[in-house]
Amino acid sequence: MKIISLYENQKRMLKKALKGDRNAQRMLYEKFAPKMLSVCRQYVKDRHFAEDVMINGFVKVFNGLHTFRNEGSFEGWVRKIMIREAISYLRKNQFVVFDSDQIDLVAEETVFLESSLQASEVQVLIDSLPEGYKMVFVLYVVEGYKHKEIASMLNISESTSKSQFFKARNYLQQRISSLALAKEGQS
Amino acid sequence: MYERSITPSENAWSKIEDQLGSSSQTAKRGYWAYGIAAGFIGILFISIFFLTQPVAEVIPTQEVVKTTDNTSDIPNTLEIQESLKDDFENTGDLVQKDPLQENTQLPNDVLVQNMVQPKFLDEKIVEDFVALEKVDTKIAEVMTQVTILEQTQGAVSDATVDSLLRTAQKELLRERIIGDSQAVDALALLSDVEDELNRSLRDQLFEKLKDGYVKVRSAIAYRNE
Repeated sequence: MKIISLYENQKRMLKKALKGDRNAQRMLYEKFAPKMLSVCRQYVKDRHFAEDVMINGFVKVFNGLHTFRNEGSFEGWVRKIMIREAISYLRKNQFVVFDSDQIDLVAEETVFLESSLQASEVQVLIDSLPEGYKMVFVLYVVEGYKHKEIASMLNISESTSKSQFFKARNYLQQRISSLALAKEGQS
Repeated sequence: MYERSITPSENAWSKIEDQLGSSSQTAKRGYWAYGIAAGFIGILFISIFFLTQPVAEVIPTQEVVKTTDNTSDIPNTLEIQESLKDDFENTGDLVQKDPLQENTQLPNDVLVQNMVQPKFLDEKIVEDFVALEKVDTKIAEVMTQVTILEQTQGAVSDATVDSLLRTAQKELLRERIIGDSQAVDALALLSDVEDELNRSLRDQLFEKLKDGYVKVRSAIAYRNE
């Protein structure tokens, strides 16, 4: 019942926001802004630039609210806009370079950590990735897109997407294993 | 990572609001521009429509001033007969009579009325009607004169009748030229001059034909004798 009422509230808020009600738009912003800033932060290293990307994303959300067809969740729709905005920002600033080398996708030894990593630590590890790797990695692992979808979003081939992800995974595994060794050494 | 959240800075919403506000202003400005353009086009069409409409002339009202001398209507037929009878008896020569040279008096009895002038089409019809009435009156006068002459002098010659008709015509033309307002109507004067010229040509032709006819008649009469 609570979920239904929340859904009805959101539906009412969306209707008002569509008509240009600034209060309704602000309420939607306050509800989704923290998550969306986190999404933008996954792609853009600098927090301030990530916030700029989020701001531009929300402007596009409210200007294009009439295109939301209520077919999926509103949050998912906003998330997509934020991702596209982050990718566009990185392309504009020429941070993204995709390595087109084809690599044999050989399964490598998986490293298991005894203790789980904090979200902030994971973020640090992801930030250490080159931009091209990071983008594919985040889209595949965090957002759950398939390589075909990632390829169309980033305007690359599906095989490039796969190779980028493979490289990113190898890089992270090396970093995690060195981190684990460092922790073992400390203990 | 999917559910992680980071609190944005406090001025983030104000930046979004500024961008939204400027975009809505441009949209409104766009609508305003369309509205102004549509209004301007509408005014243009309306002005073209009104300018192409024919404008009817409106004639202002005129007051006909009443004269104090005589308030009766136009004199009746009996009075005309008596006045003309006196003239004919005195002069004895109807052909040379020129009413323009006489010290005639225009009838002082003028209808008293304040008329609201009709529109241009109705006025033209009224003018024509009045002119026809005057012609009828003159014809009646001429017929009366001929009747009187027949009673007094017996047979009336063609020349006499012709001279009576010319006199009546001159009077009508004079009334038309001078008009009710005692001002000379230039167009009427011009038509009178043209008529005079046509008439002189007509008279010459008529005289020539008449001479020819008389000669032929005389020749036949002599031959028969």
